Amino acid sequence: MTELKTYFKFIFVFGICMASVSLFFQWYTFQAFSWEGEQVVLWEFHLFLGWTTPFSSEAWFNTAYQPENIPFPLIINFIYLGIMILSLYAGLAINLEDASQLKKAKKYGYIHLSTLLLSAYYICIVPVYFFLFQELYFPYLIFSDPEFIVIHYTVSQGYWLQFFAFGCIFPYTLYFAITTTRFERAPKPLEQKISEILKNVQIPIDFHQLIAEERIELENEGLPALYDTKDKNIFEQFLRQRERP
Amino acid sequence: MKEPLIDLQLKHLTQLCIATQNYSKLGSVVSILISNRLDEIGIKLGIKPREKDNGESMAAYMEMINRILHNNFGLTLFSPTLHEKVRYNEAVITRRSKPLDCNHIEITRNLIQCYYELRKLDVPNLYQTISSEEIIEIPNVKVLSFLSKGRAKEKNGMKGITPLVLQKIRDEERNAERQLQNHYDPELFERTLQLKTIRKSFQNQKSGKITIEGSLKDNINYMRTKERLMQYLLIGWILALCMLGAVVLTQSILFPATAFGVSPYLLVIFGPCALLILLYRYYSNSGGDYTL
Repeated sequence: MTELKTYFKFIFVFGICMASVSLFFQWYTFQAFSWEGEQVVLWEFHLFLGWTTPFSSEAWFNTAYQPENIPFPLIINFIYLGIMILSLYAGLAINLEDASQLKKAKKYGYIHLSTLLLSAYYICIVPVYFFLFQELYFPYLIFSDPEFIVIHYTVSQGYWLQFFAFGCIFPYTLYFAITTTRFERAPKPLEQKISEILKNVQIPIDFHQLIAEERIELENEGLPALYDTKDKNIFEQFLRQRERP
Repeated sequence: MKEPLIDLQLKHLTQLCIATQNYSKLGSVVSILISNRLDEIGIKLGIKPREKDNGESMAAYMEMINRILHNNFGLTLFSPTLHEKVRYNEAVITRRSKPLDCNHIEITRNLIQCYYELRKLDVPNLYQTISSEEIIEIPNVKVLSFLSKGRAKEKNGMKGITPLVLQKIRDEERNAERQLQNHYDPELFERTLQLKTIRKSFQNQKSGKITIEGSLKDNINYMRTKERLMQYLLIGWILALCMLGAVVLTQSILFPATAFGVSPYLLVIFGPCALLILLYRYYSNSGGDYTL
């Protein structure tokens, strides 16, 4: 069963890497071909760079068909990348089965969920609000234009990588979040807790050292017995009077 | 350190110190033992430890414990004789610049007596956590335990009867306190502290999380969570496909002209989605659990 969890952890890490990489790939391709099959328009949308084209600006047909600029907020990309780095750290560094890390893991559980929600945002919200509203169709459509060109609307690798990443991230994220919210570590046993506090508070006594010191002193003084008659009486009086519990 | 071991070592050290006439060392060691015992008593009662660095004397600390217990339970833990003895001997030990000699043997003896008198005090532990099972043991509340049938019923039932239980506990507490004021009984004192803890635990009821001790791996509930990883995988893909389908459907609504063109995609998306739902149901049935 541990192996199953390890597999899913691996899938999760793979998913996070895939989701990170997806942000740097192109997300949408808008291209047009003449009736002869020659490519006359090619625009690719990158989340960081916006619309790019391999054609030069002199290619007037390509320039004329440039899609409208998509007002995608760049800050979301950076937030998403930051959260994914934290998620990756949590996925690799935190062992949930070590109960002592449960409290710490709970915070990372929320980070995992944020990653998942942002992934869902890229899969569901981005195409609707940033592509469809710009009349960029989804996921793949071909239109024949009256100007005798064929237009291809295609969602590109970036989107599909994000889509597959969601499927990979989801199981471990849910497992992580459920485990951290359902379980909590029991407080330390009472005796252990008390003895820890006492250890910090009480003054330690090294009886062995004290006894050894007295023994050495006794030997140095050259006393023949452990205690003489007078002291023996005192000691016996001690034993009589000290009232053992 | 265990008490029998301390006794043995203290006995040995006493013999040697008497032989070498090093009463100062014996006095210091016993003073430390008394200080440690007082700390233990204080901590078990939920009182702050003695502030040695700020020069708080053992006698002052004993006085503080007595005052707190008197205010809360109306009892005096340390007898005036014991308190006075500790105060006098402590003062002699700490204020004397010269080492103790044979004439101060009485002081050392008194200190040892004080230590063993403190050892005789059986102080209950305030930090003892109370489990629901223990509630049944308390007289007068026993009758209420039959309400706890099923988890949901228990939750709702307990919510309803909590004020009643609290009232019963409070009455028990008052009775115990009244008895304690008449004479000190360690068992009764322990019961009073226990009642106080139960009352507090009722007042601060937790969120109902599963509490684990040791490793998560050994927990049966955790094992079940792990077994559901396959189901989570299926749910993840179902959700991903649903999101994709939702985008395509939105497009069909916004641009009806594209509806015909995207209809094969809807089949490609919702077909596997339906299959995954069936697979999820199959997994759930085989696991005997439909819920997440």
